[in-house]
Amino acid sequence: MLKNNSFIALVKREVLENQNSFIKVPAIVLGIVILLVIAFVMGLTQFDFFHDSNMEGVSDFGDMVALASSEATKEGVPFNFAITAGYWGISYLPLMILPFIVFFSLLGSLYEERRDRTIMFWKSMPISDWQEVLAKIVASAVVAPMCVLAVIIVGQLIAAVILSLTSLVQGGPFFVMWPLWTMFISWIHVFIVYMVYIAWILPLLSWLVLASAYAPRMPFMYGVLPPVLVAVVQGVFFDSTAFLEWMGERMSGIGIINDMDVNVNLDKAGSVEGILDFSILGNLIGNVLMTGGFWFGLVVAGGFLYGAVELRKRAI
Amino acid sequence: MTNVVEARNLSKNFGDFVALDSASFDIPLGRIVGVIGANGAGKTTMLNAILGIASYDGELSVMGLNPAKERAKLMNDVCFISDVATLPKFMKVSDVLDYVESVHPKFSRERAMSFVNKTSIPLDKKVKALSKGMTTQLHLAVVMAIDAKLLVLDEPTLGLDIIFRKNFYSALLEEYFDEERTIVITTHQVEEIEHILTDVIFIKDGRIVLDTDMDSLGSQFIELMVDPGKEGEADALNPISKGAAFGQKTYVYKSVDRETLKALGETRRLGLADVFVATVEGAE
Repeated sequence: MLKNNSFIALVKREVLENQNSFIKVPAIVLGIVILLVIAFVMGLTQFDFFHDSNMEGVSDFGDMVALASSEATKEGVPFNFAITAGYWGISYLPLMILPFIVFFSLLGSLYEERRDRTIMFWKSMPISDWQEVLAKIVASAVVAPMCVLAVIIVGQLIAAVILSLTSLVQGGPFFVMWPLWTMFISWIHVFIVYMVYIAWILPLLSWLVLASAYAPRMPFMYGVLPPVLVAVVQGVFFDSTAFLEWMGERMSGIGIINDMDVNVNLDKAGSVEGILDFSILGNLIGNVLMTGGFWFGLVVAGGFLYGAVELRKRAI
Repeated sequence: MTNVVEARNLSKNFGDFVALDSASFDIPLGRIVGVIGANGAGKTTMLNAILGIASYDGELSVMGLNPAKERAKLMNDVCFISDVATLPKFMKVSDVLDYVESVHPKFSRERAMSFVNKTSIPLDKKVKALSKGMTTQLHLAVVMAIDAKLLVLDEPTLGLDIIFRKNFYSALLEEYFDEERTIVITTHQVEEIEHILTDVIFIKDGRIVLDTDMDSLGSQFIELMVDPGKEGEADALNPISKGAAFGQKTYVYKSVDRETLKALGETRRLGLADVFVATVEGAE
């Protein structure tokens, strides 16, 4: 009997091994962005936005927050959405590097352990190859986004502390910079959307795991070249771009909302209000589950993962 | 006597290269078995088959399980150190202990700590910061803290100095081994493990050329320093190898009566390394 926490221990091990890419890199990137923003709002940059803006009575960040807040109230615009959107703007860069983090950690997942020969140690433990492979894909596809989101949450809170204090010191409002509930909902929303996206591109992620298990060296080449080759062969010999389109559909996530009955909601989907609208999220999840391609993708993913497990059984 | 390992016609090919050639052997409980062979003889291939980490042809049962299909289950009762460099370098020493504690139901952290505390291994250092000797000590502490029935050591002390190697084997013997456990060791430093072995298996080109216990090894193999003029009689007894030392011919015999040999010169009990060389040469 294995202890119940063995799977958690495997995932923890993966995080420990990948802590630089899962936590440190996004934290550094976010930290730099926040520092730049802070330097800007404190008027430490050469570019003096507040004085050059020609807005009446606005000479610093505090003035601008006060003005924007009162304008928003007058026009009935939810200011908490705008502030939340601002925090997500700051978080844009770490969110953008997340796909690269997932991509490279999956490519290294079953390759690195053979390269550094730790596989012999892992195999000396009573853990099946299925558990190992699942732990690796869970760590890269689920836990890595959670780590990046955690970094983003901490970063947004730090930004809120500094920006609200700056506003306060400069005579502006303090609490409008703390739309905590809106921020909280947006975190949950972004995480769920990301998870739906992960399920949608699971066949591609599983392919990377298979490439990682197979590659005798340079897993990047084994992960990228075969799909490129399929696309080229299909294009040259069959005059078709079907595979390429399918890949694009998967990677962009367009396939998810292709036949989506969004009507009014579609306009809102890309906006901050859309982030807070759970009916769109429900629609999105429902739509994914209704798509035949999604289930087909899961079957393909299962096949790739089975291959990866079989390769790992034989790997030394 | 219960057998921990039973192998029949165990074979493994890598392309045209025959790594294991119909090897059949049993390893009983409560023994320390040395698997001796030259580089590329098939030792590691044999051990990897036993551990379920490499495929094979033939029949193999380890603790009643099929290692090729039930590695994970097997590892509840089997431990191994395959190489000194396989502990994860990104982990701290305490992380390694945490990890094994979480995944291995038969691991005792207290026992591991009692071994670690006898060394100078710092718990808060990463494995990559440890010396080669410390890494091996840590690995040994981990496996000795697992209540397993079979411990497989494939060149566990490679690249370590003689004092460390001596301590490694004495710790194994004094603090780990008992009649309820079996240890299988491969090493090139045959002389250093000779005194702890109960059995030996010699492998040459994938074939088992000798499988015996250490007690009968001493009586089976005798070296004779042939008296001048008696070479003809000595040759007639079919020595398995011939050599010369101090201007005198030396022959090695297998399963020839000692009293018969004494009439032809001075006899001597052979060390394990000498028996190995004589056997391997005789098998050519």
